[in-house]
Amino acid sequence: MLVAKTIWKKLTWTWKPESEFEAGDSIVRNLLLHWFPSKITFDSMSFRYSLWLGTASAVLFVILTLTGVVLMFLYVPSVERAYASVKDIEYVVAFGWFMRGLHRIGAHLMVLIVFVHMIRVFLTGGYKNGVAAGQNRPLNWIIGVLLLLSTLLLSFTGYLLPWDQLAFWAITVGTNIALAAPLVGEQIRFLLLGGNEIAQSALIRFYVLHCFVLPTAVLLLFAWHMWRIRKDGGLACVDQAALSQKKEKTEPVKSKTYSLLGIAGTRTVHVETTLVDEDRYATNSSPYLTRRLLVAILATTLIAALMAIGIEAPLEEPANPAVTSNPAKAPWYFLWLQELVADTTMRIGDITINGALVGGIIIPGLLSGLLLLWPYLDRSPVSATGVWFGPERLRQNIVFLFIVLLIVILTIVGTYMRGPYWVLYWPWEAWELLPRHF
Amino acid sequence: MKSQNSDIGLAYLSGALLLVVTGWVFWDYYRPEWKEYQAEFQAMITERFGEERAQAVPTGLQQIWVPELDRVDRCVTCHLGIEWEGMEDAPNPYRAHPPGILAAHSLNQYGCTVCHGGQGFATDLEGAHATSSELHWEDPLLYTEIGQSLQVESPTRLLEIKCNICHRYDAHTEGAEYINYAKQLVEEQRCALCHKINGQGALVGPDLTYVADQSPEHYDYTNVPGKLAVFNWHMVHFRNPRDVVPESVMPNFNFGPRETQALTMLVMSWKRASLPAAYIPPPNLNPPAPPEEPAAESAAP
Repeated sequence: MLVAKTIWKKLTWTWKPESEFEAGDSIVRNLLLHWFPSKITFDSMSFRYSLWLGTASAVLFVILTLTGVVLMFLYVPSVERAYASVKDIEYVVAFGWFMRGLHRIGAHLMVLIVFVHMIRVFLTGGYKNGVAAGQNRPLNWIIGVLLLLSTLLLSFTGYLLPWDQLAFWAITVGTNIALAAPLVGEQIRFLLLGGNEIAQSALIRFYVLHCFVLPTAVLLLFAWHMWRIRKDGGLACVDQAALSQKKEKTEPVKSKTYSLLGIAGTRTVHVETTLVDEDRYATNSSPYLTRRLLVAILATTLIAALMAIGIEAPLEEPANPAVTSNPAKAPWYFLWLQELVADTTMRIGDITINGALVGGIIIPGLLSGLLLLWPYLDRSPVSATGVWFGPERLRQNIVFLFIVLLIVILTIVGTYMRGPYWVLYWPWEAWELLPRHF
Repeated sequence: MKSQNSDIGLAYLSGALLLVVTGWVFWDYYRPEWKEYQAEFQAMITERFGEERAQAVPTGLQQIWVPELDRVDRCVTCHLGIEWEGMEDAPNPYRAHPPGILAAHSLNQYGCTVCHGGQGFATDLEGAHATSSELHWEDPLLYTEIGQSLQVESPTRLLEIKCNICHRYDAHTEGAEYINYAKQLVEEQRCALCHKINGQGALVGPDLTYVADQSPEHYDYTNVPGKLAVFNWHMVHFRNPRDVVPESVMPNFNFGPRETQALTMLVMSWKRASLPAAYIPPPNLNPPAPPEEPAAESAAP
């Protein structure tokens, strides 16, 4: 009975730190956890505020790295062998289909979740500096935008690797958009492809970018992203808690948080934080944050695994430059751009509008530029920091959501409603059948 | 705190579900379709030849790798009886291969798909036979299923298309009756007066040298009833060219079902193929003088 009770106790996770010190120490002395705060506000930890999207994308990145390394042992980046090696992964490698499926769905999910993460940060005004000194959240927003672009590029470079018709023509569409860039378009495409057409040199470039350059970039940016969060005093919602504390006229205290044991003599980082470690605002990270982190890791993995089983990874005919797949579509996250390109290519009288320039360069360029600069253009007060749909940011949130909605609609139209010859189909209409050899 | 307790529950729930998923993936790994076929074949051999010989039946994934042809054919994972004497009357996939043709085209040198079509990579029936248009594989198994969907006279002879990819320049290929008949028709009807064939001929009509490489979307199917396929287009076109292309100057030869199938098979075989020199048969330019006489020389590998 006693044994059963002990086992039950172990299973129900009864470890609790005996003191504040033990709780903090268990974080600090652990290599994997040392970059966590020792105390965490309830808001920062809640699903309701952050939706845990950043964590989910980081978990997906780990899944992608692990499955990606397995796939690297099996995949051959040559135009002669690439397609066949993917076929082998699908048909004869033990659990190969699952590794590839998980890698593929993980990549798509990561693009989606990083994008939604950005939407969350915008809508909560998470890029805004709060009340503490030394904050630079706008910089972290820029790092985040770079992470989003790196994620898109990672997914895009991975798209070519199976070397099937889907891959070949998606990359053809994607890289042809670069051609429309004024002055340097041709050179950019040449640099990316290592030539003027998609062949072996393009495959090896995409492979190296996909397996080494971009993951390294993401890893470095990720580390910087996390470090900045700590330097900024946590998520932006912490500043909301600080503000409400301030209202109760608690004087802010000077605290040194990151000096080496307080003995480093020269310039140390003095952060004037309004310490929000009162029990009604915050709790020990260990075990509450770590436990919820475990839930996030397991749930993300579970969802990705279930999707990998449920959604078959496509592999079309071997890449054939002589036969254009119909319709030839870019990867789904670029389809809003392809749709824009298609919709803005038109003739008005004698003037021909170059859709690739408008939809492929100008509009996405403008949007990325605005995205990078927005924290510096947003003049809303501190009270709009770290709160969903802050009333002071109503107008910009509406405009932002409107743009997001347009992108989502264009993506859906491009993905589900464009059939052969880029003809518009309603979702319930059957696409025109395409002829085959036999 | 309530939410903290629900975290413990969530962690256990998702952990348990992940274990179930892992279990399912493992279970799935140990029950592939081909294992059933292998078990059935083993039982069949035990019944016919006894326990001892059944032990010689290979188990696990089988494949024929032909680097020269850049092919790996896993058909033999299920089609286990190909070289078993005494399995000539067994049902498919266990039937023995007719031995004559294998003598000249050994399994190890040719594999399966180079003659039969289908997807050698695949290890399940649907993927291997690749007859469904959902599957992205343009080289289906040339057998009854695809033949019936194309409504040809003799579905099982479709694979002669594959013979003619290597034996293109033979006037006569032993065993390829439809292809031989089609070549005879090409001579008799003097197709080369209007068409370039094998790089020779006039250009009144289209150059047919590599016509089979033409993309399926190149053809206009407006007047073509039946399956939306190049093969069908050619069949309808051979029946009466003006049914398909109203302004065509090609005369109507009044071909019957046998002729249309033969000629369609011939044009479908006219494609580019990069073959190792050892696989190209020595030219056999002279048609056999009396048609009854067997071919002077058989195709050497």
